[in-house]
Amino acid sequence: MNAVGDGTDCADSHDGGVGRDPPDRARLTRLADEQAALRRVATLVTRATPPEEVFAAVAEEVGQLFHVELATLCRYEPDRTATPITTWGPAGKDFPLGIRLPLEGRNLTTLVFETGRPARIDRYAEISSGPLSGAPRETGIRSAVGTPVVVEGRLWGVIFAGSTQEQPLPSDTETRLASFTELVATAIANTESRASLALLAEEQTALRRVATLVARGVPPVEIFSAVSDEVTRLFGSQAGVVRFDHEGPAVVFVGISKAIDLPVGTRWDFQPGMASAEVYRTGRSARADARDWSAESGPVAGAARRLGIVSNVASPIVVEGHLWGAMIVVSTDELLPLGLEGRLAKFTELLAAAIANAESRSELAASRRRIVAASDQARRRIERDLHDGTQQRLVSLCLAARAAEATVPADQGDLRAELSRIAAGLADAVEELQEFSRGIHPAMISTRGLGPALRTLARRSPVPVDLDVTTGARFLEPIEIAAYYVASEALANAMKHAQASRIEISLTTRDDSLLLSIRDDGVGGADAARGSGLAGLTDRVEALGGSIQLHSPAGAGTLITVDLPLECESAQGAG
Amino acid sequence: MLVDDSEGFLEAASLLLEREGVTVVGVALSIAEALRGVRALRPDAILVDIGLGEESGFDLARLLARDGGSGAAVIMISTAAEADYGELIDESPAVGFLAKSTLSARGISRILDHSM
Repeated sequence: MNAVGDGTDCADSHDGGVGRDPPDRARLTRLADEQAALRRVATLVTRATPPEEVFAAVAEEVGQLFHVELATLCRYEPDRTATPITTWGPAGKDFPLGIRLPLEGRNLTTLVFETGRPARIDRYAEISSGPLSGAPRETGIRSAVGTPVVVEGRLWGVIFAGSTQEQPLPSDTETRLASFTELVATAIANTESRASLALLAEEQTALRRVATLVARGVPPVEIFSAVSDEVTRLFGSQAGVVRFDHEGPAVVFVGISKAIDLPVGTRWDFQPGMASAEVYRTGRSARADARDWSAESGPVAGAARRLGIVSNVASPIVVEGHLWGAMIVVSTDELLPLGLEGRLAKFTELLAAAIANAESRSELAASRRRIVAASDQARRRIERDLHDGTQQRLVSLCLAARAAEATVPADQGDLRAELSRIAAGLADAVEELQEFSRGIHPAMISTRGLGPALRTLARRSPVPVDLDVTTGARFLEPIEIAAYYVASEALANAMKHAQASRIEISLTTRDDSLLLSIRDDGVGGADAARGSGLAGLTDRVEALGGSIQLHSPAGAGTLITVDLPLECESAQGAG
Repeated sequence: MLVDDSEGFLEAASLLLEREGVTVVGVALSIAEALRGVRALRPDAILVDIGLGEESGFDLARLLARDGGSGAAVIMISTAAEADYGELIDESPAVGFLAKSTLSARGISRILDHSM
């Protein structure tokens, strides 16, 4: 056993280095130097100096204090590698910084990683091996000590001190180094908590931005891409939203961050290496790394290779209890941080809310349409019953009264006049009833369509109407009825309130919409909110996915425009 | 002759017109009945309700006008006002329109005299 854990039982440490222990006076000086060095580093740490500077300072202090030719700080990576991040000393100039080297062979970085404890190698040139030992060996290191940097209970890295002297490093080197590793750990912990605090703040801001979009009822497809972009910005990787396609099964991309060159709507069958496939299977967050798909072929692995993806994480989007899809994050450089799944959960919750909102909005719209349709049906039935029943009976009674009148002898003038009044009263009642039933349901719409119904409306209007109908097509009855009601209400308002002398009605189609406008030259100043009768019609128009606009400046007439989509939207896309 | 899908109306109208001196040669409730009636009874004039249940009085007017016509003058009638049908009446072969509640022998004669 040539290399050991803690330096107390170093078989090859030349009597434990006792011979180099200094006399008392020198020892005091050394202690003072050490305290001064630690204080300098501690000051840096408390000043929230960037960790890179703290690392460099630590390496330098360690180098000078321990009179070594090489002082290095390495960070352990999640994939069993270590990255040398700073180095000091005459022997450290050509040290390969920033490169991941595998933890294998016999060297201090690997030893500390495996044991979690300080380690020492005194015949470094002879017994060290592995990629991480290359640089120290080349620089002529003979005795070296490594102590772990433990940040909040987790092995973060190692500080390495190496000497090219013949004499091994003193036996208390490990213990003395530990004070520095503690300061390094504190600096890292501080930085990490500051960084995570900053990340938390950014995350909250991003979530708030998304939540605002959700609250505004922005279509899900916009939210998908907004979330993808936010997550991309936040976690420094690429992100997308996928919907599970149950006939496959597969994922369909419904939102994707800008940097990924993949069209929305792309469908991928599940394949090994897709974290989303795992989410589909288990309903839980999942992650997959490059090694899981490196041997695969097919579009997924191909795209992953093309994009240089090394890691992907997926979190489920659960909409009202059912697994709807997933938010995926892919990384092209580093492995994605652990705990990312949990942080994604807040975004997937918002996505789920947006989807649920859109679904309930389209359900609501459908239900409004059903309500309007049901009320139309009821009105049509009432109109029909009035027409076929009461109205016919009144007409017959009116004729019967006149028939009776015809039989009354000429000398009974009073009776004749009485019957005549009854007949006239009945005729008036018929007319009133007709007016009434027209208001309940414009039967003419069903029999003759919107254009002729508008013409009739125009003909009956006491105020002259210019009618411009450029379409002879028939539309779905709810659309025709809505347009008719608006025109009828607008005419009534123009007459009753606006004192108009001229009215223009135009009906035309543009793209996939029916456009109706009614303009009058009256007093203007109409307010849709003040019970003009248009408010109720707004509901009807909006239930059909349409819109109604009122433009009525005081003194400048009134313009009402209605835009009704001809294709009744069934469900505005939740994906 | 009277064509209407309401028996009550046919009865009341026949009674009134008879009393006013018009001979009602027959009544019909549908297009088919009306066509048979016209062939058999050869009326001078035929009063046709625009809304014949599921059928349209205008269709009957067009059928009667086909092949040189039946010889009977067609007058459209309705509970609704003339304005409700406007150009449909103008475009049809009918010679005129009467609102049902104002139906009278004099009204019929006026239209017939006018159309001669």
